[in-house]
Amino acid sequence: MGVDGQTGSLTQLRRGALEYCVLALVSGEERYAVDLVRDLGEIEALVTSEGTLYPLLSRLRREGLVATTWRESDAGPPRRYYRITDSGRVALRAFAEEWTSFRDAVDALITEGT
Amino acid sequence: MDMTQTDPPGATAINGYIGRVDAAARGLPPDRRIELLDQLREHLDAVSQSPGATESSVLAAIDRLGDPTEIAASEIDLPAQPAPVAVASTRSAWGPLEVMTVVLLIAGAVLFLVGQLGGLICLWFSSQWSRREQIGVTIFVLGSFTLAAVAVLAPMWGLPFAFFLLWLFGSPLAGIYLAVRLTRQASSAREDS
Repeated sequence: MGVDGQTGSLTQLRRGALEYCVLALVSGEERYAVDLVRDLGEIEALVTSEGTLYPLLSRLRREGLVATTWRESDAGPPRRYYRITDSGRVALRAFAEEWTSFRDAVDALITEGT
Repeated sequence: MDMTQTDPPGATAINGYIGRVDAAARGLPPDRRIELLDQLREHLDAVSQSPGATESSVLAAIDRLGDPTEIAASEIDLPAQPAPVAVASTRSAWGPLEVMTVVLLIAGAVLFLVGQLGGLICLWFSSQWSRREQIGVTIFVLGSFTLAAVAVLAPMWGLPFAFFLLWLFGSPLAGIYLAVRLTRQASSAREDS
């Protein structure tokens, strides 16, 4: 596997995990979209550019894993808030279990191999 | 575009950026493109209308949002909603159970109770109709059957005898409705794939 292939598979891995990180971030209180995207954007290991998070949020909403609410703000236009739905929680819980065994298995093999 | 003194900082830069995303997102379905543009504009408006915002803070926010082409591409690249596709493929088939459902319900016009109950049982065992369709048809068939029975057996309750026709037509109508729904779903699933 060349460097390009490696970058590609890392991108896929990051993308797959990212949506569950988003679900985890909105699993407590509902979050204002702009704050949510900025906070995620700070995590460089996960997010390449903040703008790509919006398509992800839209997809999670279309799949019913998150829900949006509009709220008036003191200054400026109404704000879009995201919160996790019941099926989002189910998906997150399932991923969390899978992830733990996945991570342990990969860790064990990679440690042996290096 | 109206550029006046009251424009928040970076308005021109924001409009230019949104325009570039719009161009890059040309290949997206209209609803997704509009949603994406709304989200990005909301994001940048929030930055430019926050206290102490300057032209350079807006430019920095645009920079963090990233390349319009990359954003549009990430919307296109996202896995194409596997769940609905899987549902569509399992919903496209007319199996024996589905044929039985429709035939028994239509036969309900002449098969006293057997058609209605048999059809409803098959309907609930089948996974081809949505829960909403199952519930709606069950209420409709049992309701029209009950009304018809009351009209025939207890005329003193004041229901016109014409309600008897519900017995003849209620169950077959439900059968035809289910057949139409299933055929439409099957053909739209084929178009999707």
